[in-house]
Amino acid sequence: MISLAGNDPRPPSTVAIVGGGPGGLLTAHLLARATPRPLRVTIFEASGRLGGKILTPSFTAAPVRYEAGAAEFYDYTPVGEDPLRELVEALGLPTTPLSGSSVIVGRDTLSNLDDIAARLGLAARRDLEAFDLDARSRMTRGEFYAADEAPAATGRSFAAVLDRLAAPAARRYVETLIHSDLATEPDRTSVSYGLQNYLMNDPAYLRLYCIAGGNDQLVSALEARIDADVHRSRRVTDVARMPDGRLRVTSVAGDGRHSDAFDAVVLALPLRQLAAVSFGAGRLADAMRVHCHEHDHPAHYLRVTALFDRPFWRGRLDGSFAMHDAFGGVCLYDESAREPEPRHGVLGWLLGGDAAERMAALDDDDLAATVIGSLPPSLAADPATLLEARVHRWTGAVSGLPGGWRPRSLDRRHQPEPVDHPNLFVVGDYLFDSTLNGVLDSATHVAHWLATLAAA
Amino acid sequence: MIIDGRELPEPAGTAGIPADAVEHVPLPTGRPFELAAVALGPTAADDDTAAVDAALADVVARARAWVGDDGRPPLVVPLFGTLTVWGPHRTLVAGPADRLPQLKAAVVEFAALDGELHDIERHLATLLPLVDADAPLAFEFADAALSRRGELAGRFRDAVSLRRRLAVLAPALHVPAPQPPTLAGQLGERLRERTRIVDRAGFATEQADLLERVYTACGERASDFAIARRQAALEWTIVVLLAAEVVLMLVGALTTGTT
Repeated sequence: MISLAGNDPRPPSTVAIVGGGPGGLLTAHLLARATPRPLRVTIFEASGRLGGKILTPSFTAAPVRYEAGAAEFYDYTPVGEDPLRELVEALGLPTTPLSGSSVIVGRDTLSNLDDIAARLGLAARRDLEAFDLDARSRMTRGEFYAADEAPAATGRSFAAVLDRLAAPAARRYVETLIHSDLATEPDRTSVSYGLQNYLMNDPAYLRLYCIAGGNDQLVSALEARIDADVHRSRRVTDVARMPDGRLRVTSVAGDGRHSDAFDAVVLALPLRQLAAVSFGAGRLADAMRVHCHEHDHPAHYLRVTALFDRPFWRGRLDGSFAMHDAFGGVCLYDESAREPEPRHGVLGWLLGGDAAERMAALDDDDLAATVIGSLPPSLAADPATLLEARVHRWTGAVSGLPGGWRPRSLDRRHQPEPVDHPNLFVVGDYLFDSTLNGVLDSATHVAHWLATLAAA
Repeated sequence: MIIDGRELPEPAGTAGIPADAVEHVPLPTGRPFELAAVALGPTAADDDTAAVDAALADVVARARAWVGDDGRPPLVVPLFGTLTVWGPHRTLVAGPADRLPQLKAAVVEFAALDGELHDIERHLATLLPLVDADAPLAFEFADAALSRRGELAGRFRDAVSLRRRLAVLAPALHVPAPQPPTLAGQLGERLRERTRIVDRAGFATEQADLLERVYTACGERASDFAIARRQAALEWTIVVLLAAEVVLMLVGALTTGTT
């Protein structure tokens, strides 16, 4: 009989991973590499698809793919090691760099300080330069790299930092620049997270890339390499401790309820789905309530992607993306820039924060018409060239304050109830920096922990 | 105008580029460089996208003809409502009048870097073919090669000089563009990317390193050979002196014996 309870942990041999998104797949992949002996791993995925927030569908009007979830990967190699980049390379996935420096404010496209001085005025330029200097002195490249492991708990919101921008135009510029990455409003996130999202625009801090052929190539590559029983369309409803210390996972599928016992369980779910799982009554239920409450800082994304018969914006929109001050700050992706020789034009809007949550209530046609109509005159689309538009809602899908206001140690973040349930772990991007890099860090921590227990 | 044995196309004015828009910029290497600046007028910032496109297409066509094909077609770099048509001897920048100074500054700075690298590459191209003939002397030196010591020393000095120039050039090529970005910084970065100047400098550095290694070794072998020759001469001198001393001793002994 296996027990991991109390101070007498024994090696686990069966592990349940709840969630078939990047967190679950990465945990399964890393577990297989880290454990000295094979573990029997079972993945439960509520939907019929693996990959979670990594989603690369195609239009129906033409066989053209687009990113509907995670748009890009962060490349930390300018400041340090990047395990995700190393994993992508190890999996043999080719990548394409992404870049963009333009911010569309009103009718003006601001791509550099010269544009800012000419359109917003010299005072705005000076204000921005002072803000930039201040941001760099508050967070060096080394601090930026380590920020998600030890988030600064100043108790102040990022709005207080933005208040230092005296010129309203300068403030609007910065808010537009970072809004869609934050996915929340500046007064609801920390100074550290706000600074990270501002400084990531400097290639000396961070670079961006995507996977050629679609970001879901990562999901396919991981799925092909993991050795696990994958149960799709199996929603986990309950997790409870059994008398022998193991954990019982109850799931629901088309053919009814299932109950399985495991030595260890990894909950790799977005916070909203995690809160929907029942943990009975007692210490675990209390601990999970506290865990969810601490990390309950929902941030929202809304993606609208339109297929045009040609990329009419070429020559006017430089780079892979630009920021636009519509909807509080939206990222405008030239999705066709990811392809070497695109036959069509694909423009994607990534809305974030309150606007994303509010507009998610609109129907798809209204949403598409609204965002396409928001383009400035210099980028105005000819409606006749629109072939199809798709909408993907990611309401509450990420955390606007990863790590919480009072970040805990890595172990405490990943093990909500260590006394009676040391064999229950959580994995999620909300524990780090709300990115795929963060979820890999989280999965690595838990996989190595389990591997250590398995080797004991 | 003829540069590096190539004749550039029509002079300014006849290719639709006004002569008064052209500046002759002195580059540090002495290489002639002409820079034309054309103001696109307020339409560049207008929302009349068709007019902007037509104006840019016209400028591109005229600029291509004027910049000419210097073994490679001119590089056309559209950037945030501006346009740069780059060639190593002639470049045209076009954009709103208030952006022309920034564009010109970026092009002149880049032209200086490109000109310096081009000059280094030209010198390397003359030195590299000699390496095969000189390489055996990096292993073993001979009497017949003694007369070439000055020539080899000259090539060593050339190699070191090229390596020094590349070392001076490298920081300017690798300096990151300023952040927040400026138009000049963005254009400079774009030109560096599109001309692959960093890669070219890397290859040139490898070639200069090869030359430096070969001629360093040649110098060492030549010095070793000269020292060995001097030592041999000294040894023979000692042998002769010792032999003379022995003869003198024998003569002395015989003389003493007969008396």
